[in-house]
Amino acid sequence: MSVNYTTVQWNRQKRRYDRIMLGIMVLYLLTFTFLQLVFYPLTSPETLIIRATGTLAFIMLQFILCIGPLARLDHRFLPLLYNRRHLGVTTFLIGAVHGVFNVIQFHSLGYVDPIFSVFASNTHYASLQDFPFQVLGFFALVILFLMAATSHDFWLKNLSPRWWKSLHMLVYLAYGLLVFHVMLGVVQLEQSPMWIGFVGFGLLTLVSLHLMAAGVEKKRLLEQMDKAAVGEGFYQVCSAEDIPENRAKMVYLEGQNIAVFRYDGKVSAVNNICRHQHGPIGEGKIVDGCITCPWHGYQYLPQNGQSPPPFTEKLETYDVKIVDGMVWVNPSPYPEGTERPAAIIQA
Amino acid sequence: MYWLQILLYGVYAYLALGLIFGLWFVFKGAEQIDGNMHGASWETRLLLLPATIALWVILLNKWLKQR
Amino acid sequence: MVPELRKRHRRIWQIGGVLLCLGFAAAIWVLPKPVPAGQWPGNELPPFPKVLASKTKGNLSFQLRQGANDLKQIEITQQRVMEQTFVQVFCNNALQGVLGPAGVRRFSLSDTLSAEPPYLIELVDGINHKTIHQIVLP
Repeated sequence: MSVNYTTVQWNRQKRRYDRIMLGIMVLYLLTFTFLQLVFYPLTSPETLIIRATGTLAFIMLQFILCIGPLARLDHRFLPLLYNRRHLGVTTFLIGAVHGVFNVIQFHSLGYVDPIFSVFASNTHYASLQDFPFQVLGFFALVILFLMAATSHDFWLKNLSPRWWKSLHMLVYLAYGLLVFHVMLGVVQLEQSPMWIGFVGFGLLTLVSLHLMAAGVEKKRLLEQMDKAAVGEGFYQVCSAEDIPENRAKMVYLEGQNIAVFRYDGKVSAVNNICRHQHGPIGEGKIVDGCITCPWHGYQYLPQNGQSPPPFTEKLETYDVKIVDGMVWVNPSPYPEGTERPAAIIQA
Repeated sequence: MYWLQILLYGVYAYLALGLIFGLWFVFKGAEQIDGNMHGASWETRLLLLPATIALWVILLNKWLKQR
Repeated sequence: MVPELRKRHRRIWQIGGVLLCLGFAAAIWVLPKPVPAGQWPGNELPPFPKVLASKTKGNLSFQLRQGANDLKQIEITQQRVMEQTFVQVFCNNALQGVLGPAGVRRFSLSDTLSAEPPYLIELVDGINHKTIHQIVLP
């Protein structure tokens, strides 16, 4: 959070996350190597490395892109979202190994600049079948590099969240480039149904998950607007019972994105957008008395929206009341960090 | 493909300037645009170097405005 | 995420999803005719008995062999590993398969191809689409 920068923000959960991630990666690489040596015993070590890292990076990217919609469709996937940043940086590193080995093997033997050779050795840019697919992989790797290199909080702050978010949304372009890198590359060269199935399955899963999550989200928003009863600037949100202990209900009222938290027999409302990377605070839970953002663990106190000292982030707060067991929220925000009394749930 | 080689040399020159700027920036300049950099370890600073090399123009612009 | 950002994501996936699926279909559409089974390195075909012609070029030696019913077979032997990792073998412009890292590879020609001598054998670097060797048998 907004204290001096550290190299990597590790904590117990993130270390566990990283260990599991590395374990699965090693297992994949070993399995892949074993299968290659069984089915293609003549494979050279370079080719083996290129194939193992290429497939692993592609699988990891697909997995990363699935996490967002999965977490929105089912909250049990939220732990995956928590440390997506490390997963992304690792994906770039694996992809970089693939890229570097390719450039060494295919482009560094002649006298020309290897990068020039990537662009110029095959010039069938007008053909789909013979397209220089390595160029697509090159640009995808550049995007992944920019994302990995700017993943530190320094960049979020100094490139401004808006530019940072736009830069990181290029991941969708990188994924598209990689789909064609595979489809116009190894698929055209080897025509193996396995590769086509591998890409096709991932593509279908990803597109349908994203569209499903978007649909569910839109429906939820519309339903809220229909149901909200109004009185004296307050909107009826739900019954207090509907909010699980230490969790939130998210509402969108008069342009305000609000998270209503229930804890210790009380209810408080804060702005739903985390000051760090605009993560959905309402998808997190209250840990040790603090609202904890599910994305990167930024924390805020529910009654005043302030990060516990020495941190300085603050959220807007809202008035809440409980009438006959129903929670009402007034969507006119108080300035960031204003203390508002929590509504007490009557037993 | 002649233009491509020229373009590539341009990119290399840009990155080389980025490296020079970056080495100064991560150890000295960064503090002046972001107070949170005070007391950051050298590992943290080196971690910022790759993106500084790539995006140095933006940082230089920000640093000049800040002064 | 803020609602505007959600909307941007939704748009991207609606438009991008359609484009990606179309591109995926197009990539399958342009796939070259499948290579005959058994033409991949690893499971070599047995050699045809009669040698009709043989030629050598650098590290490579080529043989034209004949089997039953006048069917022909091309045999390519590599003494050393080639620089190019992915080398496609064409006979009279028809893709026959790819070379392995080293050793002997045999490609049996179809009836029609067998009946059309001479045979122009071309080795093509599949990744950079450059012809490496051209040789005519017999």
